[in-house]
Amino acid sequence: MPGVESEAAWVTGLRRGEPAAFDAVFAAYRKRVYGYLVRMTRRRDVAEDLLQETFIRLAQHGKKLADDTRLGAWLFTVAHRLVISWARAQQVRVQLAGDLPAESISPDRSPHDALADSQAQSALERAFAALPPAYREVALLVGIEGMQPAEVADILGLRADAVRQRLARARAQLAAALGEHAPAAWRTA
Amino acid sequence: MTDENDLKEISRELPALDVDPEAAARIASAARRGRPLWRVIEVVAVALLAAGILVWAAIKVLEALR
Repeated sequence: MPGVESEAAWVTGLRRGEPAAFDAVFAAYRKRVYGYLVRMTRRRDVAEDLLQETFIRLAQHGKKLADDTRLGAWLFTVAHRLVISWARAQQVRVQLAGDLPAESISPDRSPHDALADSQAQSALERAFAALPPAYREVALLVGIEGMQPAEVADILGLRADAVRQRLARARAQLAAALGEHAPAAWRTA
Repeated sequence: MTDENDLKEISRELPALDVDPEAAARIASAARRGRPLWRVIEVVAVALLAAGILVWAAIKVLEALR
């Protein structure tokens, strides 16, 4: 993860409209934001579109960023809002399309199965994919991104205790879904 | 804290996902260029249409109330 100094330098560069700063931020955050988007939308094509839109917004708003902007939180806030808009549009599309087969609306197959190089990894991807989106989002931001509940609360527009509650439920559902693939400590807890 | 630590620990097992280099270059270049003009025109057109419908509806309601 980028250090505080590089973040500050990038924010300064973005405020000056320097392409190098934009490229550095894109290189540093592309994988992280894309991973979040794939796991939230479960579609790589949609994740690519939303990744592009996230960085279009960074390019548009770069000059207006505050000096103390935390780029990770800023980017994930934008990505979170884009996921919500996409999910709403998806719901409308599904309603307009009538009774489509469930698989074409929300595939339970994880797009990461092909990437998961072990049975345990594949089980973990499926367990994350099976979490309700509200719990999955919190689990991804805390688990993968290493964010604090207070920071996640800011991104999602929730209270920190609501984030902790979702976290506890996500962990419980993951433990139940993973069964024998859950870490030993989880099973004995 | 336990839930946080447990999730961090297990999340380490998840593979990192990334777009392929070609797509990454395309996305970065598109983002640098900004929103295409047609998207801007589309947003403005939809906003104008929505505003027009609202004004029309308001006029109709006022007419009905008279």
